[in-house]
Amino acid sequence: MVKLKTILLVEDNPKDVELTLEALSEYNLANRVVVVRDGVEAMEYLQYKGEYHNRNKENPGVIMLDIKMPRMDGIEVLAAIRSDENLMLLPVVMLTTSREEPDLKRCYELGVNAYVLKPVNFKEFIEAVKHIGVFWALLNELPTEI
Amino acid sequence: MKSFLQDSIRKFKFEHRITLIYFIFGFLWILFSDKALDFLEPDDRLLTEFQTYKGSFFIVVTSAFLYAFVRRHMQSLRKVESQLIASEYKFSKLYENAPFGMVLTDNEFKFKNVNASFCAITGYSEAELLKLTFKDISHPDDLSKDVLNIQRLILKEIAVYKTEKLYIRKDSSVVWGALTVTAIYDSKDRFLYNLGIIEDITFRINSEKEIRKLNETLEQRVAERTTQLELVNKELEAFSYSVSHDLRAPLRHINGYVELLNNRFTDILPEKGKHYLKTIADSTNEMGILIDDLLNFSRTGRQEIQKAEINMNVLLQEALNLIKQDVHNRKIVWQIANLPMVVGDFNLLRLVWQNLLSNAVKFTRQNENARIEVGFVEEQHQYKFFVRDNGIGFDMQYAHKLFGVFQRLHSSSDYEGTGIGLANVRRIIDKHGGRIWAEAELNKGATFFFTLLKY
Repeated sequence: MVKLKTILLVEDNPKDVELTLEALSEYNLANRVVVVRDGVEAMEYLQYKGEYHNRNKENPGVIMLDIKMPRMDGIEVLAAIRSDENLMLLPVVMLTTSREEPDLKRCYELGVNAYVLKPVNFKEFIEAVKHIGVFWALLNELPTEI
Repeated sequence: MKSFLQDSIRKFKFEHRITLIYFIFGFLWILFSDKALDFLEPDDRLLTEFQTYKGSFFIVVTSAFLYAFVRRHMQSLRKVESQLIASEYKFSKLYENAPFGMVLTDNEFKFKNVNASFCAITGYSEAELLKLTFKDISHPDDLSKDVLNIQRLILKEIAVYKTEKLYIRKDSSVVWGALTVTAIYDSKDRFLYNLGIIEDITFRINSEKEIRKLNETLEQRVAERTTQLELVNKELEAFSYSVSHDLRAPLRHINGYVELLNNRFTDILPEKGKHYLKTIADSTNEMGILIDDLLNFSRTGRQEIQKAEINMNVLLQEALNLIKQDVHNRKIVWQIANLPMVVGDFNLLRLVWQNLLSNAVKFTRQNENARIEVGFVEEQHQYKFFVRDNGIGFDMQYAHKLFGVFQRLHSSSDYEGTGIGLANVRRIIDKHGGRIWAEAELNKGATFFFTLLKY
């Protein structure tokens, strides 16, 4: 049996969290999702700090990152991940509302693995989230050290 | 031989010439007259008498010669003198009445002569100036350079000295002068004086300063405006960023929850409830499109155009390919002319064709014999392109509303669209320095024209 990897969802909007989880639950991926509310919490989770200092030593299979968030935004999280030698190889998918050319360029400069727009249409949204979940958490192979 | 003698004599100066002639004549007379007398009359008494005649004759002849020579010489001298006087008069008039200052200074820079214009420039009288030196009325900043160069001029190291300098007037105000100095020597090459010509250029210098100042303030104002515009542009960008993000998110949520309701509770929802949910979903979709259109429109406004030489035929074909995919089941007669090369932004101009052609396709929908013509007219400085259709057209009295944002001339239930397309087209054509307008007749068709400058 294939071991399902964790998905780290970094999203501040509870509605988006709920809709994303709904979408992932259609493929039974929802129970593997860890939700954090902003960039600071995401880094605490990834670096075993704060309330996450006791969690299992295991990196997620993919990080789904919103861009606009309070405190530390998605691009800052991406930069922090890419400059941390324990995290730098982690797959990161930007999952965002708006297509802004400068954001897109900046994310790819920082080495993002994918940049996905949340479609307004829910059917398309479900499709997009499902594809990300299935591909990164199920199909994609990662090097063993991460 | 004779002419040689004459030429040789002419080479001598007048005083030498007369002395020489007298010397030769006297010498020959002494040599030959006594011998001739001896030969004619040896009588002693008569000899004395003859000698007296002979001496008198010599004096008469030499006096006549002397008179003739001196007279001729004096006449030519007087002629030259009168010519000199006339010339002197002419030049002194020129000097006195010259519109620019003229001065003569000696080797100690003292003024020896000044004209009226120079008095006017400096504000001193002639008598006052003649007691002063060039140094007294020069601005200290210019003085060392001027003195050095005028000394070089006197030493013939330079032929002429030109400068623009400040003079201090009698009332202590300053005046700008363009000075040209040359040195004057006598026939023995001894320095006589410097001739200075001074033109008052205060007005010119002040005008130049004024122009420079105006240019600087203009540049400064342009820079200020540019900064302001950049600021406004940045604000607009931030605004559209937050519009795009903050307005879309709630729409997505509405859409998502409507869809969840539809999926999870479809059994317990009455038909009416399903209808309401569908209406909510349609409206959110519509609003999503409106937001996207508005954002695109604002992006077009802020985008710098990337100019390149463009083959309009290629551009038109690309736009046509996109449109024909959507209307493959319709019968449309296309009449496309061979278009010229233009200079413009490839992507933006393709958007123009796409908009105009899709409008033509849309508004000929009811016509079974739809016909769309694309062509151009070459004018003196520009090309006038047009897209003509035989669709439903519009009433010309509403033509002014055609290119406004979200302005529509047909109901959205008959013809879909947000009303942003032509506003966008107009922006693009404006940015290219062209003009766009339309001519139409209700139920007969419409023609859209736009112009692009020739390059």
